[in-house]
Amino acid sequence: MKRFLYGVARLSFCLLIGSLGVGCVVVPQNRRRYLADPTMLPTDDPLEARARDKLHTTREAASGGNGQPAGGGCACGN
Amino acid sequence: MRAAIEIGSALIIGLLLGTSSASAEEAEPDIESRLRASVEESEDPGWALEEMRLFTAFYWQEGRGLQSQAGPVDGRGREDAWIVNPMVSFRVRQNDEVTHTLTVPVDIVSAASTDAIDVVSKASELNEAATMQLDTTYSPSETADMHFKFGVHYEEPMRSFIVGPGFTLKFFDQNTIIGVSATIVADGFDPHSYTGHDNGFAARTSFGVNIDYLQVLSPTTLFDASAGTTEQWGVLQTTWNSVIAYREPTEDDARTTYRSGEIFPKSRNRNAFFARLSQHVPDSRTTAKVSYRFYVDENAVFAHSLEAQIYQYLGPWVFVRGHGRWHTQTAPDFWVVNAFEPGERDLRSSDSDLEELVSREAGLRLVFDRSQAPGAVRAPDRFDAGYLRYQRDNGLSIDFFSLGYARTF
Repeated sequence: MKRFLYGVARLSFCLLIGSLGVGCVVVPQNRRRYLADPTMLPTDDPLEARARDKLHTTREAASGGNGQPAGGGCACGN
Repeated sequence: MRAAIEIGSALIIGLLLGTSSASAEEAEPDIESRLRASVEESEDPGWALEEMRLFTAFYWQEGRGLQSQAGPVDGRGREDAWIVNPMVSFRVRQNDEVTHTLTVPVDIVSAASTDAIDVVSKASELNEAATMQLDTTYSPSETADMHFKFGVHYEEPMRSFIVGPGFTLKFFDQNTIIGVSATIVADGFDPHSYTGHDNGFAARTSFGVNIDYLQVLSPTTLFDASAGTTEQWGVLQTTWNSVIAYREPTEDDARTTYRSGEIFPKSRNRNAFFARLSQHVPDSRTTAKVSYRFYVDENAVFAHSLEAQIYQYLGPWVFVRGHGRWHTQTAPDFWVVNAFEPGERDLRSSDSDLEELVSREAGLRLVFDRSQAPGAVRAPDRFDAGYLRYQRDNGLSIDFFSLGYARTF
């Protein structure tokens, strides 16, 4: 298990470093009109995203590991 | 400080103008007052409400699970429930550098735990929970943000405190954003047994660290990813838990099938990796997003979640979002259908949420964004309505209805 976790951590690190290289392509601010569209936001409605997250974290074993609280009280303790 | 410098500059300019000519001397008060007014106008206006959001979701759940006593004693009982989940959030600007976002979600749950109590004391028939979380962001420059979150959660029969700092750096003209955050959650709750007995007080603590990464790939393409780990200690099983147990009949009790409690490990490490690609197509005003999440923990739970979202503008200020999600998970190594007592006291759980399962989800959401509407109906607000269907292959389904409203000031 430790070997597997080490592999996952190494893969994550490589992906992060690899994708940093893409940062060399700089899109100036005056060409980011489409990126500012509401549909391109990571979460177009934070409250709706929160409600959907809660649906998943209280019904599936895979909560946590994303910077958010993992588990809770009634029916939320996965 | 900046305002003081500007006022000082205005006074110096005024003095210089005042010594230049006699006609200027007559005009000095007007120039000075105009400069003062100009400086005062450019000063930070201070506290202001910037945005308000309202959201309400209604869940209708139907299903059957091994923990529910609302059924045969040695089989899956009913886990039907409804949940109303209103939420409100306010974003308040303190000054040019500091903003606060207060989020207050409330949960009203019927049959909050169908595990045990519903057929014994009705204690969990209706359960209310509320959270108040304050997220403060300090932006001292265009390249760095600092965050701090503080929250309290109250729920029958649980209380939680949530705190966490965060730091975000923006590189390459904000084409690359990297964030690091930490979260500490302290839970205290009453560990009710499957018979309804209150066993006093129990506690658990969670500590999580998360790294976020966002990259602009082109004028229409975004990539974002995150990786995190969470460590938990303490009493990890839920309150009102139960496991079906078998035993040999005794002289005092002839029952061979009854309910016993879950036994969880004292600590648990969870890890997740998430990545998403977002692409906008300007010609058709379509946005497509594809994401993948991988999860692994030290109790051998492996999970994969794939999600696709399509946004399509139907008009200048109306768009629809369709999404589909597929999730699969293995069960933890201590998941059991039943236990044998009194000899067997190993780790065990029959929670149907932890069972090996596949879930599927599909939904639609219609959004009216009046900030992009023609002049006749334009306003700084938006409202939306949504529906999704969630289905698990171990006998649970949820219909989720939502309404939202947001306004900027």
